[in-house]
Amino acid sequence: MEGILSPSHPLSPHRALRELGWLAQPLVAAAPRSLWEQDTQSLPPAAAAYRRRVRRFAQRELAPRALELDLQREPQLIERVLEAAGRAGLLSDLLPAPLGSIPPGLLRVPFTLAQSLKMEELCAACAGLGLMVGASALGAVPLVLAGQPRALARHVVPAFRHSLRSRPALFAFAITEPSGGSDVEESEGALRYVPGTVARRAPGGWRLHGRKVFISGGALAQRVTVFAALEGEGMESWTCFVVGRGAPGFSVARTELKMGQRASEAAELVFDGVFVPDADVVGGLRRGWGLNRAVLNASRVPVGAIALGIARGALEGALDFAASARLAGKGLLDYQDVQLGLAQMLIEVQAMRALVWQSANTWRPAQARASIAKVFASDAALRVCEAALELLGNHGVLHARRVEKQLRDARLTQIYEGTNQINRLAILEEQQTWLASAPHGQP
Amino acid sequence: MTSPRTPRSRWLELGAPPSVEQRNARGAVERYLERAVRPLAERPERVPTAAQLGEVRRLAEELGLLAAPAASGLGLWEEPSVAGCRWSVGLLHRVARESATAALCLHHAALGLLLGRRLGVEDAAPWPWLYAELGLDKGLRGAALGAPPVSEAAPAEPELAPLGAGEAGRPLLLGAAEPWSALLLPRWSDARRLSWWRLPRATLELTPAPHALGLDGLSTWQVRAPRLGELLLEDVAAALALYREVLALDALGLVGIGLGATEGALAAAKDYAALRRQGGKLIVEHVAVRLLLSGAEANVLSVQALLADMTLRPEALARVLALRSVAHPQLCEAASHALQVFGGTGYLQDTGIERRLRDNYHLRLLAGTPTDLRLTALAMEDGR
Ligand SMILES: Cc1cc2nc3c(=O)[nH]c(=O)nc-3n(C[C@H](O)[C@H](O)[C@H](O)COP(=O)(O)OP(=O)(O)OC[C@H]3O[C@@H](n4cnc5c(N)ncnc54)[C@H](O)[C@@H]3O)c2cc1C
Repeated sequence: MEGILSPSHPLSPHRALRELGWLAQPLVAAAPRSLWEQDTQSLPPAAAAYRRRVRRFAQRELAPRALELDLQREPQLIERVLEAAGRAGLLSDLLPAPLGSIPPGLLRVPFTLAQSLKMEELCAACAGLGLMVGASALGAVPLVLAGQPRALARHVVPAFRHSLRSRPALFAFAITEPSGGSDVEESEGALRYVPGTVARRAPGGWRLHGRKVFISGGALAQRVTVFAALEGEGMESWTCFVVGRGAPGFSVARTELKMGQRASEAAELVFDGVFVPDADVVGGLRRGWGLNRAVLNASRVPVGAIALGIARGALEGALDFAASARLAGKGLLDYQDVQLGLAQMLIEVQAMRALVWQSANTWRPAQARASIAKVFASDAALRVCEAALELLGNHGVLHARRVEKQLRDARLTQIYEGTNQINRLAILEEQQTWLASAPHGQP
Repeated sequence: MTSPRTPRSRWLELGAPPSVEQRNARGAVERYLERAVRPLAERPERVPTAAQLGEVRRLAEELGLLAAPAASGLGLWEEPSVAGCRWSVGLLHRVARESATAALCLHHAALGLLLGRRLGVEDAAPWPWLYAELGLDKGLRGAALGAPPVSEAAPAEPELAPLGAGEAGRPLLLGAAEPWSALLLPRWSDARRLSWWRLPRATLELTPAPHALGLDGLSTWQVRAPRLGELLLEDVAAALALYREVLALDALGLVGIGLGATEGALAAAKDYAALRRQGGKLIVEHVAVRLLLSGAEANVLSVQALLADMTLRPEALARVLALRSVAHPQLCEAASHALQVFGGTGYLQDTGIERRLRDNYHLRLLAGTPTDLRLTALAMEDGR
């Protein structure tokens, strides 16, 4: 690289550090590996092994299909990838083996961190396919958080086993309604929102009426965790129900054509008097709002990890281009503006990862930290994708280069799981007592 | 929301009011848009076909917007005065409010015709290829673009290699719309010497290279030209002067198109914000949404001001390029804000908002990225 001293030069830190005395050796990084490798080594061994495994899987199964599926959602191809993901244990990693697929060593790692590691790797290869996997976990989380052994035994364990052994049995998470997007993500809006999906009492259970929109994986899922208000009551009565794919009255009205993350479908689901037995009420009546907020706190950091993965993919695309392309007789990597651009992308990606991992490394995901990670990572992902595009110049527009896909994919992370505006307000909602208790900064 | 700052007209007003002819012509243009361009935008999720884009061009010719008799003053890029430039930018902006692809096709078709006239070629549909090998990349040709003109001939059989054997990892790209019959392009035989060439389409090896980042319907190819083609202009000073002129017009057109697309997005976002309710009120009443709208509007106004300056002195190429480098990121940000106002709906292809954001990103990468533009502008000073 022009202008950058080669590692073999006597003044290069690579050499100079190696020549320091033996006492200094344990304290200096004389031969640093790639940033990805350094970060992996900083994880507990089980998490590091998991990260490596998912990366290999993503590069083998997702990356080769990403461009094709971006152009056309080919259901059989998607099914094949999901089948492979299921067998690799990526659709059942919310419960320990043998109920699910969390290996014993990984049990000590908070599941938001494990999910974040997974989503970064999958989405670096293909965010659309990554979302299909992630959305299934999202749909199962209410059942796991509600912690009802019977519901787990009835829905989660069989689905996880099915995914592990034969075909994928997906979940989907359905809160958004045609007239309520932000209103079902934040409390001020919920206070004033008239719920569109309603549960009416019926003998032995409930009948659901209404529509849910933009549901990721909604058209393929075997089970949907649907949130509805009890008839005649407001959002405080929100309750989570499990609806099976074949339930009479349940249908998929449409799947959307989207800017990006195209391998995953966003479906409009119709509930026309769908019967749900009492046994399939998740977490108890009128507990849906709390459950929803708990799910969002757990899922917003992995959404930050989706953004991180996309940004890393864009960075890798830019690197590949810079390393192979020549301009006016020299390699692109020899131009200082390219070097500076790459350095800035590395900085952004590293900052995203630091924040995502820090926010994810807890057993009790909290609202402000989750939203901070989600907003920062999704905004940074756009910056990285823009920088990557500019590095490619007019080649950036080409589909085959992938970077423009990553930009299209990244744009969604600023919208779903609550828009970044709503997430900013969520930070204040959680921290309001502290914010209002001036003076700050005193012991 | 009605903002006092937002002009009601869908036409861009840059400085002096339009002439009577131009004002009258607007009515005809509106009818043209209705017939030729709006069908492209009605279903934004559909990619315009070559036939539809061909019709955009044919009807524009019929109306005199392309290849008009020189006296009409209404042909795109035919009239070099400030008023003529502003008419052209305004026209492209107006078309781009409906479809940026259509506007880009007209813009480049017009530049092709302009070059064709200047270079004396007979082709019915010449296409400009201004950034073939080394356009504005990294500012490497900035010094030559800024240097005082020295008249000398480029070598008649210059040491030019056939195009597109290319440099490793970076094949040459062309974006074009049907119909086009030949490429007109500048080539550097060394860091200073430029000449203009014609490459007939039949002599080219074209490999489709699909893109998805906006300007849907425009075709992109990897190009190889095994033969050198026909030398059209070898006087270096004249060749450079022509290059500078078309680079400036291209920059004006691209910013005008981006601005039109963005204003279309912003208008749609305002309409949506005045309809959609969340949090117990219209979303336009939330400050978060007002910040998005006002931020987008400030960017739009800023680019309008930049364009007014750029059209005032298109011959000040370094300035034009530097201003363009600022305009596109602002337009992308504004279009992105407009999309965010729509929430999840903005991410769907059928709303048309995401397309306008993609269009803006594509425009930002064409004809020099912002970094290339800045480095070129600075190098032009070195040349002086
Ligand atoms: C591809 C895709 C996949 C999705 N997957 C799922 C899924 O699996 N499950 C699911 O349930 N949902 C899903 N969603 C829905 C997603 O979470 C919502 O789109 C998002 O929360 C925004 O809601 P909305 O689209 O209704 O926008 P709106 O709520 O209508 O927001 C419009 C604008 O108003 C602003 N706004 C709204 N209310 C306020 C307020 N109170 N204060 C300030 N500003 C406000 C917003 O920030 C935004 O800018 C998905 C969406 C998409 C696009």
